[in-house]
Amino acid sequence: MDNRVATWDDLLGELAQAHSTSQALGGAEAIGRLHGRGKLTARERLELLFDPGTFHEIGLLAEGLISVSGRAPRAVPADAVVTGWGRVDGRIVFAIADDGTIAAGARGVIGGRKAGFIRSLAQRTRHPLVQLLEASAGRMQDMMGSQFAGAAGASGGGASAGLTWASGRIPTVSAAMGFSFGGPSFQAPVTDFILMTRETGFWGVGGPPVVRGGLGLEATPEEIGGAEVHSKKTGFADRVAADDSACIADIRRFLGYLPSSCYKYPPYVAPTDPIVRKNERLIEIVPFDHRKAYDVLDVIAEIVDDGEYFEMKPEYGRNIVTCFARLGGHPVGVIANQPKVNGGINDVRAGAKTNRFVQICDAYHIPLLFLQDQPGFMVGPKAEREDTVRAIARYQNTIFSVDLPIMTIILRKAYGYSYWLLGGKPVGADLIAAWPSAAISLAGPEVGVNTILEREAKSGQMSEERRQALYAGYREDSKALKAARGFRIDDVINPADTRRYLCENLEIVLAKRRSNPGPRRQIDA
Amino acid sequence: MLRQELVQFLDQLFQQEPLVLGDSDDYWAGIGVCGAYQVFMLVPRSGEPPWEIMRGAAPQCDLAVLVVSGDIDGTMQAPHLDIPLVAVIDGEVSARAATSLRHADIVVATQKAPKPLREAADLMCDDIHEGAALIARFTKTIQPGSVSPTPAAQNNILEIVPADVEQPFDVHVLLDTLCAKSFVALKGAGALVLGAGQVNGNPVMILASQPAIDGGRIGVEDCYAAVRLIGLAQRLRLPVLVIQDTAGMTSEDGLPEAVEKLLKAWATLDMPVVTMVAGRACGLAHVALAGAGTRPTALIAWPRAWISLDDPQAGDKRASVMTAAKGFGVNEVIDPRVTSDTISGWLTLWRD
Repeated sequence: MDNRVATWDDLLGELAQAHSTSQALGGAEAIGRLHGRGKLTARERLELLFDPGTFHEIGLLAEGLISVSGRAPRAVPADAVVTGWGRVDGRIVFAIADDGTIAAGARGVIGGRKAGFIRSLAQRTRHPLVQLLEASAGRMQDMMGSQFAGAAGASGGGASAGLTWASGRIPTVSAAMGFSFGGPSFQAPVTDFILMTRETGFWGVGGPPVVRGGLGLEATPEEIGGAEVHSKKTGFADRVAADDSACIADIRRFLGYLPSSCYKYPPYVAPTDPIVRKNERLIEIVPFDHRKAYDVLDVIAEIVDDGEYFEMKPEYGRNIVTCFARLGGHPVGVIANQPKVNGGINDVRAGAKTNRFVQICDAYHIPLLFLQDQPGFMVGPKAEREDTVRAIARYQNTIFSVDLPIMTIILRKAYGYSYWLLGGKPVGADLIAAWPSAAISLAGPEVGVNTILEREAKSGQMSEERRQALYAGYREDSKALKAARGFRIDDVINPADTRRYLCENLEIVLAKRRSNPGPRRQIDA
Repeated sequence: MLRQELVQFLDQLFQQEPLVLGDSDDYWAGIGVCGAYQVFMLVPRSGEPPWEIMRGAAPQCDLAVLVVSGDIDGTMQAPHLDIPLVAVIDGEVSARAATSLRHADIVVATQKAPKPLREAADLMCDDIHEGAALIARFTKTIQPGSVSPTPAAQNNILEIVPADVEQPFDVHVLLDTLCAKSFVALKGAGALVLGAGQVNGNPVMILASQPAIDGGRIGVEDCYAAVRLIGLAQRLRLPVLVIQDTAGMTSEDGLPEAVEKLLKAWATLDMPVVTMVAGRACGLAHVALAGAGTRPTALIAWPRAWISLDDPQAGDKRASVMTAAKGFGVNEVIDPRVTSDTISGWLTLWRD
């Protein structure tokens, strides 16, 4: 059309047609195939992510062109990536969503430019960024040959560099909702929240064709980087969702606990759950006998607002629970030993899990609540070979450097150096309280007695009477009341008052906050 | 300034009785409220003005106003402040004083001001009272939400602006529509209209090329006027809206230096810039007015627009913004009837 002699009807008609073509993505047939695999299109995903009617698309008219020798060039609407911003619970959030209906969602040069623009805008305007990734490695047709040298922003190094800069400044989310092998798998670790959909989402350095070509090895996507691998073995994924809808619901919940950026405090939501609600059930949930197991998630649910919590890495390092929740309307990061899994012991996976979680909380000013019931660190040759010491040391470096309100409740056992690291005095806890059932010591009384009397036991000179006397003495000395009398902890509380105690004291410890929050740290991959 | 004149001036500028910091034969100084802003005001009467009062009190305020009325001899070298300074000149001043006063962020000159200052003034008025009214109007415009939006008005854009890009339109009429008549024009030059306005309640500094004058061609004076406005946007912490319909640059001596200064001003501006290509965006003029290459926050366009190195041949689709949009050279091509909604949407990203 000659736009010099056009009428408004002509121009607006052409614009509407272009919008319509781009919104149609890869066409009805391709959308049907995607739905057949139990997946949603990029636009359907964004509709679920954002509050109704709030999505504002940027780059709708962008168009890629796939040119392969011997075939007619093919246009790619929106260059297979839908970008823009909308609102999540009323707050602005930016999104980059790959379109799996064309070119398998692989990102072209123009799509990469769009994604780069959105990343930059999110950083400059200080709002969260969500990446819904499909097959977001570079599009071969666009990047084979030396073109690759100038295509860094499309999916690989340029994107990772931008996200690294954003780490700890704006909340960032990466969800694998397709074959996100290659570039996206290097972007995801520098984002704050990593998800994948079960059976349809995959992370990994290279997918089956690359593995076949490089190693001559036949491997399924599931074996290389499926949900089982990354939720249980590597802990790479913070959450695995049953499908696209559940994945997006998780993202909305995650963002609900975080501020829009490190320059704000987390969002307060006026609680409907009374802070004075009694927790009579807690003494039924937690057995008085320290050797009996229970599910600490039941304890968390009893204490926090409306019984709602959002667990991170629930299938990895299960002996420690890390989750977000609210106390009196304020978001908190909860770290709790899980006695029903290996007695809640602190090991290499627990160290890695808590390290990343505490870093996220520190970056976004989310107070920490420790619920302790743990026998100490995992020891033994296997633990040492797994490099437990360094994993714990990395966590130690993090927890010693946070600038956060910290509250600790000792439910039962609190033994060894691990006691100090999981919310003890050395980490700068503002408040340490214990239930009357708690015991605090360098080690459990059995271990302590056996260590001290080892020589006597070996020489056969130890009497059972002496052993029992020593054991009884250590048990008595370990009691929470004794620690409180020496002001080594702040309080011993009735378990039924735990929620009220935490909510009221949280208001006090929040006074530590500065008037102008700002950047604290980047978050380790 | 006579006492009676001062009282009238204060009444026009401030909503309530100002706090008087000093009132003598030598000067008047005080703090008042104008819109949402606390304004420090100093009126020297004779001798060296009491700059120490300005240094002490003005930083607590949002804006400083210096009123030079009557024949003042002296340098008028006001101290550098972190807040914007408005200089109102209503009388003869020495050449040295005139030079100093020109460095104020906004210069308001009455008919009594010396000719060089009148020519350089951002706001021209007949007398001091009109000056007070202009300052009050300007401060109202830059105060968020002080002007009721009229979103329906954008529907009229198709009647104001012809679809044919060769047909010029009066950008003042467009600005009145987009800004719900809140637009306050500052001194422009040639084909560049400058000022402040509100788009759906969002205050912005505005640079708009005027296609009705020489095809909106940008010259040396336009560049320097734009640099001054960008500096003011930075000082007032306001975003900038640029509207482009320009056939290019004029052919004048000194153009390269002027464009260089303008590009530097964009590069150092720390506020959002929304650039809308409303019609022609030709060559260097497109770039110099916060176009591609200067990394505006948003580059949007109407479908009638084109972006090209020079005047394209009729029907050359390569110049169409629809083509530019395919390569993500513009972020959005919009129906003109959603222009103010789109602009305010982009500005919301900074406000919320």
